[in-house]
Order: sequence, then structure tokens, then C-alpha cells
Amino acid sequence: MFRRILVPTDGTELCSKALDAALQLARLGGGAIVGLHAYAALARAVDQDSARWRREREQQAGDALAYVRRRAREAGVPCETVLAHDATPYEAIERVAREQACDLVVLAVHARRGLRARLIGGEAEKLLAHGTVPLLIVR
Amino acid sequence: MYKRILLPTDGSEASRRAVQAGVEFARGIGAEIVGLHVTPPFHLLTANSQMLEDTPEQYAADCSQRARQVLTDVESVARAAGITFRLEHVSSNTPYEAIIETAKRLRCDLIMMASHGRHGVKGLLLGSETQKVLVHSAMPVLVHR
Repeated sequence: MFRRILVPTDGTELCSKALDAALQLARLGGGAIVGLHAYAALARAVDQDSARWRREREQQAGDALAYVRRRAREAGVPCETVLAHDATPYEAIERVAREQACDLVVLAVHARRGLRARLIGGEAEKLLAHGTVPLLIVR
Repeated sequence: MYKRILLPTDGSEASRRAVQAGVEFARGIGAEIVGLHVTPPFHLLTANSQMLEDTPEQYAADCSQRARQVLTDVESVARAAGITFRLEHVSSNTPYEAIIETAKRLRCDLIMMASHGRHGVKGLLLGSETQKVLVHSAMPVLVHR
């Protein structure tokens, strides 16, 4: 069974599907979840626009992780959350999975059709190709 | 949660490890498993030396025997774990389609497979069948490593 399940979230509807699966699995196995939100931070606020951008991103990140904590509390599943600022979400997921000793990453991906169906999409693709942690892909 | 997990295997070392993990996982969540082995059908025009030398009958017999070997492996792991299992051998040119169709036909709700199978990591980012299953399956897929 999986004891520590990493759930990367960007706060969208899609991610709540991954969260559902992660919470169910954690509950069945008596495990915990680790919520992760990642965005590359600007080096510094150079003007008003970037300062506003940063405030909005911080707000979004806070909301996304608060949602994970609330859902975990409701499900009775132990939960930690991590905010990461790696250059890409893929790097953040790999690093945090390693540091937090996670044994599963749950990702939700879009169903695709036609030509785009050749790829399953950015971060999932990179994790699958180069990652080392087992991966559960839900749609 | 998941009630019936499809475990496709090509008999490779990576697949066998995935089957082992899949059976443990199934036991943990109280699910049953379906072990699946896919072999290509006989072709007259082929670069596969086994097919060139064999008659269709001989080839089919060889495939069945190979499938029995691979699936007996799944069976012994499942028996040891004391979980309910079912074994399937399907003949198809496109293993990923056979995997997805079998999962649907037998009402599985999760596919769990190795990130790489017999063809290994050479030149590929991800095992090609695993990659295709991931792209085309509407069902959740657990990639074991």
C-alpha cells in the first residue's frame, strides 16, 4: 500500500480528481498525503505589475493548498502541504517526492483526441520519462 | 476504490515486478486482478524469425505455451497472496489496444503496468506500449517503477 501520496495541484477542477483518488488510497492504506503547489517565482518584483502578479500567484497558491488541507481534514487523512518555486513543476514534483519520501504521485491529465493524443501533456510526460516515483494517472 | 485491476505483462523482469506490486496493492485494497498477456497474430510477411520458420499452427501453439508460462507466473503470485484472479491471453497486433479493450470488457477499473517492458529503455523515454495505454485509456493507469 502507498503510505505517502504526493498530489500536485494547481487549484483547478482537474486536480480535485487526483485529490479524490489520493485521499481514498490514503484512507484505505492508513497513509498520508502531501499537497504540492509549484510555480517559478520572479527573482524580485521589478515593477508594480510584477508585484501584483506575485501577490496573485501567492493568493492562488494559498487557496489551492488550503483546499487540499480542508479536503484531507474532511476525509480524516493526515496531510502536509508544500509550496515550491522550482523552475518547472516537473522538477518540483520530483524533488518534493524525494524529500518527502513519497511512494506515489497522483496526477490528473486531460483526455486528448486527434494529433494531440500522441502526447499526454507536459508535466506528466516528463515525470513518466525521467521520474523515479510510481505514478497514478487519472482522467 | 478499485475493485478489479488489470495487470498486463510481457513476461519481462520489469513486468514481473509490476505484477508482484500489483497483487500486493490489490490485496491491500481488497481488489481482484486480471493477468493479461498479449501476443501478435501470425503474419506471412514478417521479420520475426519465429514466424518465418513456423507454420501458423506451430506459431499459435508456441504463443499459447509462452502465454501459459507468463500467466502461470501471475497465477502463482496471486495464489500466494490469496486474492481472486483471472488470466487472459489475447492475440493482437496492437498490444495497447488489446490492453484497453480487455480492461473494458472485463470491467476493470484500473490498469497497472511497468514503465518499461521487454524492449527496455533503449532509445525510448517510456515503454512504447505503456505510453500508448496512457494516452488512449480513459481508465486510470498506475505506472509501476
